[in-house]
Amino acid sequence: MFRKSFYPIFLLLIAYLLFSSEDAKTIVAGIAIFLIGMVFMEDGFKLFSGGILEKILEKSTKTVPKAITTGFVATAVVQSSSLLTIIVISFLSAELISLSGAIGVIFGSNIGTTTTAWIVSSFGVKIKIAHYAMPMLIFGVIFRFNEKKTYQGMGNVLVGLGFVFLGIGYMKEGFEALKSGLDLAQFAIDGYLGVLVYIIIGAVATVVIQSSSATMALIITALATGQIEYTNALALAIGANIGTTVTAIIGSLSSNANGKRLAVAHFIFNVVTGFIAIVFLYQLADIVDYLSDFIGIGQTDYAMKLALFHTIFNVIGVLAVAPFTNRLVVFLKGLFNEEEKEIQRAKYLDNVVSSVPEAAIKSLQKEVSHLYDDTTDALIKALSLDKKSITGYENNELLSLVEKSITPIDIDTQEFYDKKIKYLYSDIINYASLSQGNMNIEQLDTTYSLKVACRQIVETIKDSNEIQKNIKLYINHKNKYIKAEYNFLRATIIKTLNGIEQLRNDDDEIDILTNIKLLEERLKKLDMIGNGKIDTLIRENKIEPKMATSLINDSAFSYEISKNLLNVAYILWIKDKELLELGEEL
Amino acid sequence: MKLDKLFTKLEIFFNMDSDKQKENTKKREKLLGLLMEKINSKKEKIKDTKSKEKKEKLKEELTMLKKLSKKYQL
Repeated sequence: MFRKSFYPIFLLLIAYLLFSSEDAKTIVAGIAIFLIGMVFMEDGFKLFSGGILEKILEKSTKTVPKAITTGFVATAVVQSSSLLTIIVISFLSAELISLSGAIGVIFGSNIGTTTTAWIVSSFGVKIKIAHYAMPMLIFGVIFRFNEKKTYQGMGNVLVGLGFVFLGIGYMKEGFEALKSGLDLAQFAIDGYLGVLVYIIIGAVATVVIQSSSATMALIITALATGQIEYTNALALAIGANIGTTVTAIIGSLSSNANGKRLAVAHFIFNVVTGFIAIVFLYQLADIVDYLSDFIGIGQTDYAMKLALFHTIFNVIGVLAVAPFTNRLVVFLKGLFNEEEKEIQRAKYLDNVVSSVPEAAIKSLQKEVSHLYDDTTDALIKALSLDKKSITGYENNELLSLVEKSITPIDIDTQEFYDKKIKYLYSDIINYASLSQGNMNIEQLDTTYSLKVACRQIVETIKDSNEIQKNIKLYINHKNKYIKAEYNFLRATIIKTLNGIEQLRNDDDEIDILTNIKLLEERLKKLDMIGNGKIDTLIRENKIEPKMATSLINDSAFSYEISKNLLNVAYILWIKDKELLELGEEL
Repeated sequence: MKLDKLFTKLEIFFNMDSDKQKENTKKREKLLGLLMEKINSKKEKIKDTKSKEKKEKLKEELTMLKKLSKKYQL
């Protein structure tokens, strides 16, 4: 309701501002161009990074200090804390990093994002930065026309940088021109009242603009042209930090539990940091003065001083909050609990992450594994077997264990499919389609294979529905031949599952491929229709014709189940392209 | 289209094209090396293993590895 009525008022206000003042038009255009630049840069890094960022994040977040450093460096390089947040949510969802590691990255990212202020205050307002924008835009556009995703990504980064520089140039120009007509500095408010008023202005501006970097650029250019006072600018910077968390909280409302946990961690961090900065504002300003002298920033270079202040208060925030990371983790896990739901939905997929190809693929792999695990649990029950009683045994012991398990287990595989599989499957397919937009050919291939794996998993549960009825009928049957044959079918599937369980945690993909191929060979030998075993049983009158037809059908279903399971294992646990191709050829 | 040709020419000019070929050859050689290493270590393991069952399993793995490396060399 508020959003609906706010939007037209906001548009009218902007329109009035644009028509009433030529200078305001230049400033607002500068903000708009700057924001477009940020969007291009983020898109560019998504295409351009080729998974490097993801690999670094995966390996360098084991401890909180390491995670903070990684968050700082990564954000300083890519200049986008939101891109980093997206990847961190996906990794957290895929359980590739811990919640404390993810929180550490977010803390570090808060320090990393202050480098934008340094760039704007050191280059942006001191040199005619807009001049550098043009060549970047031209080369960026040329690269964007290329078919290859890497070039397109590079093009987007260049176009983004060009627009950011151009935006800063416009903001600076607008404030300089505005000064001759209207001096905003006359609205400066002294004391703590001024601090509070400007904090609110900074926070509201960031919520409206949806980017703390853009707000910081605006504050610095206004400060550099003397349109606002230094102390008020400090308060605006604190407000921008608080405002950005509101954006994050709104963004996380549609996210999963992990997204919400991170957004609240970010909120707590920024509120605590903001509180410290407000209470000790004047002391911090003194520290900035002292350090400015020390590192050679001029007494009146307020833009650089503001950048230093921004970094210092974020560093202090990290020092104050980081020691409580473990407590924060416990609190957040309690706050957003993942309940066991009647209808199963995706656990590891977050739409926010779908635009980052490598992260999206990792999430998809994790979710397909989840689908596989749930399906095989149901499959074991459909074979009237208990998972615990068959886990941890060698394959040669399994037939006798199966023969001993003769109590039929009731599981409604159709209901299981409707409640647990159908929605999860559609979530995966939907997510895969969403993620494909930014992918290169290799990534598209991987996503396609994962979709194939999903279909094969779903076929497995449907096939198990077909054989379940006869298994229950024949595992206690007085005809020892049909009983033996059905136990053999059950054992064949269980041996395949057992084989896959043993290989899935192996780090050596050559071993995984070798073992999958061996399981495939064994399966071919055991195919009853292929090896003529059923013909012999009928010819020797050991089973009735009705039993024979059931056995022929169920044997085919069992063979398909095992074959599908092996195909899924092949797609899920062999990542090396060369090995995958080799496996397909053999 | 013209831009695409320009990029292809640039790739050839900067030797990026042959770099890719070199990279592929390197990858193949690396994988082949790993396969041969695996075959040798399996042979060693077969020699050292006393259990008949384990020996049989290792022999099966060795045969499969040989098949894979033969296919890869083709």
